[in-house]
Amino acid sequence: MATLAQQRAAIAAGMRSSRQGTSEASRRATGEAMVSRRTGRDEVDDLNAVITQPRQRTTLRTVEPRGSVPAQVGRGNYTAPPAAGAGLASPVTEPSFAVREFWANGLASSDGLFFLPAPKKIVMQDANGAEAVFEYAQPVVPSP
Amino acid sequence: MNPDNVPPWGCPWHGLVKGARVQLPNGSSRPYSQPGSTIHNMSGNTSLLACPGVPVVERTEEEAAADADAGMQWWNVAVLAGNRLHGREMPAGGWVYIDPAGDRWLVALSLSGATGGGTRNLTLRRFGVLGGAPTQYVYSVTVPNMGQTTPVISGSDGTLSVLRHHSNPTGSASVFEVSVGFGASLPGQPDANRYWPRRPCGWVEVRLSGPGAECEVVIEVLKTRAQALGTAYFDDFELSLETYWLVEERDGGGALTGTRLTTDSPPPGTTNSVAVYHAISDGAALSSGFDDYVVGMWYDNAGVRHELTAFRHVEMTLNSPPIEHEGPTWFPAGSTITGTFSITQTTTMLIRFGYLLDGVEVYAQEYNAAENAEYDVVLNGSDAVQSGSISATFDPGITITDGYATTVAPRPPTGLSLGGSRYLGAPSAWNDPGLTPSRISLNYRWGFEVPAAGQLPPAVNFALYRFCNQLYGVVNWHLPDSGPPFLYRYHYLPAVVTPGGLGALPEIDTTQSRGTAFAQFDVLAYGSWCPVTAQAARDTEPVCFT
Repeated sequence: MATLAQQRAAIAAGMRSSRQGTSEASRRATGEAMVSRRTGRDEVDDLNAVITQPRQRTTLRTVEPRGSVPAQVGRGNYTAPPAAGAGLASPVTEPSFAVREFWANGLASSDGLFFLPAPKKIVMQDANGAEAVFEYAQPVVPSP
Repeated sequence: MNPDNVPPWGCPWHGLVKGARVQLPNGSSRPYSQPGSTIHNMSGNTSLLACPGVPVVERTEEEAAADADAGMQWWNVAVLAGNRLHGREMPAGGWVYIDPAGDRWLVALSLSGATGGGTRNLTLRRFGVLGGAPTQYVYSVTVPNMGQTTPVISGSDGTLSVLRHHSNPTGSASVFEVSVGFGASLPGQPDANRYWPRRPCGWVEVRLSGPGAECEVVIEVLKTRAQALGTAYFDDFELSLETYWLVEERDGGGALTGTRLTTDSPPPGTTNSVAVYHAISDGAALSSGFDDYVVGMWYDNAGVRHELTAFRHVEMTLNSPPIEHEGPTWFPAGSTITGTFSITQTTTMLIRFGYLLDGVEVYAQEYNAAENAEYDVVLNGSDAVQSGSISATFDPGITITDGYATTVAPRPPTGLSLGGSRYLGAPSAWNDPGLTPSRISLNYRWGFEVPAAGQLPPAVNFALYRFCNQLYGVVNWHLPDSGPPFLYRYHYLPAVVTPGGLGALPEIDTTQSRGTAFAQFDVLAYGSWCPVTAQAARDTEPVCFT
């Protein structure tokens, strides 16, 4: 004999099944009838069934004229992206050259007579006034 | 020196600069500022600049091929060309010092006007760091007396200058030349000395050591004037004179009995004259010249200093036996004085001049000549006929034969000379070193070509020549033998002296008319030597390796 819980579950499933069979089918039928009425689809189908449609003429592909193709101008307008909530806001500028730092060993010319200073640290500032510090690696000379 | 991922940078354009274009190894050329100087033989000066420890630039096969196509050469050294580095003019007289830490300093030092000694400022200015204000240190240095008082230099304009001549690869030593001016240096002015306008008469070395901030400077006189000029000598022929006298003899009453021809000196109180005279030489030699004239100094790529000296020797020999006489020696009063006096003599001449590098002869140019001559004097009463037959062979050059017969009427009582050289002139005394700077060139009548009828060969100036601080040679400046248009031939001989020793270049042989202007030397040759490739070049317009 089924337990009490099993009996209650069986009753609930029966009620659910009986409700679905009536309300869902009727709702779907009602919806389709409304669409049909609004679009007139049924009338068109009926008319198509009694008349012969004229054959559609195919449009030929346009042939480009021979010779040079005239210049065409494309135009695009740059739209600056909106400032993000995080990261740097353009433009990023250097407020003072004087605070730049350089590594003691720069980049030597092939004859060793001239040196381009190798930057060590450059302090920049973005459009919002936020400071951005760029720190560069020291040129490392490989051992001979 | 740079990380591997840094491409080489600097100046990859190296070659001979001529006409303001550098000739690249791929056969092309590109514009380049022409090194120059108001003193033409400084236009091609070069000095090697080498920073210790700078590695050779390594290129892949593809990169090397691209470099070769573009005519680029990535050297790990540089050449101070004239007074320019990579085409940029350096401060006058300046050079680059690479201190022990590898820092580069531009050295500024003027020694002009300091030949008597004193103090001067030497400035070290940080060099080669692009950007930023350069650091600078000034040192007061003691300049020693350069010993320029004696000897007096003949033929110069007396102006002295002290100019940097060469530097070692790190610039820790530079040699300065003390020079004296000769002639005008501006083209268009009459000037036979222009080809070497400032001639050395002293040498000074400036040595730097230590870091730029604590530099030690030493100035040392390497050669005083007396030491730079070397030695000069002159040893004349040792000749004995023979004279044929005509001495009147008289009897006890004072009447003339006749005239005696004698080689004995006439007794006092007699009436006499000289018939002929002659200098006897049994192969005697004359020698004259100078040695050890320090005309150049430079450093090799290892920094060792070298010394170039010049010499000029002239040697002559004369073989002229005593006169052969035919005829009577006693002429009774009223008779005609006759007789034939003859000599046959040989004269040789060797002119030899050139250069010694560190005391070893590296180049000598030689000119040889031999002259054979027969001379006669025929007496006929109060007249005489002088005649001669001469053949002279010049090497280089040709053989010239000549003859003459001249009546002398009346013959002079001082006599007629037998002997002497028609073509080969004996040099003057050179035993004063003060003459040496003016004797680096001398004129000789030399038989390069057949002279005009009755004329002697044109004179040729055989001159030592400095093309630049490390290139020396010889020029034969052929002088015209007649009036306008004064055709001069400038012949720069192929042999040249370089730091690598004796070399050869295509000769320059140009003939130019000077119109009505006489004695101008204005087809100057310019030269240069590359301390990296050991190439030499020479041209009639400024050239310089870079």
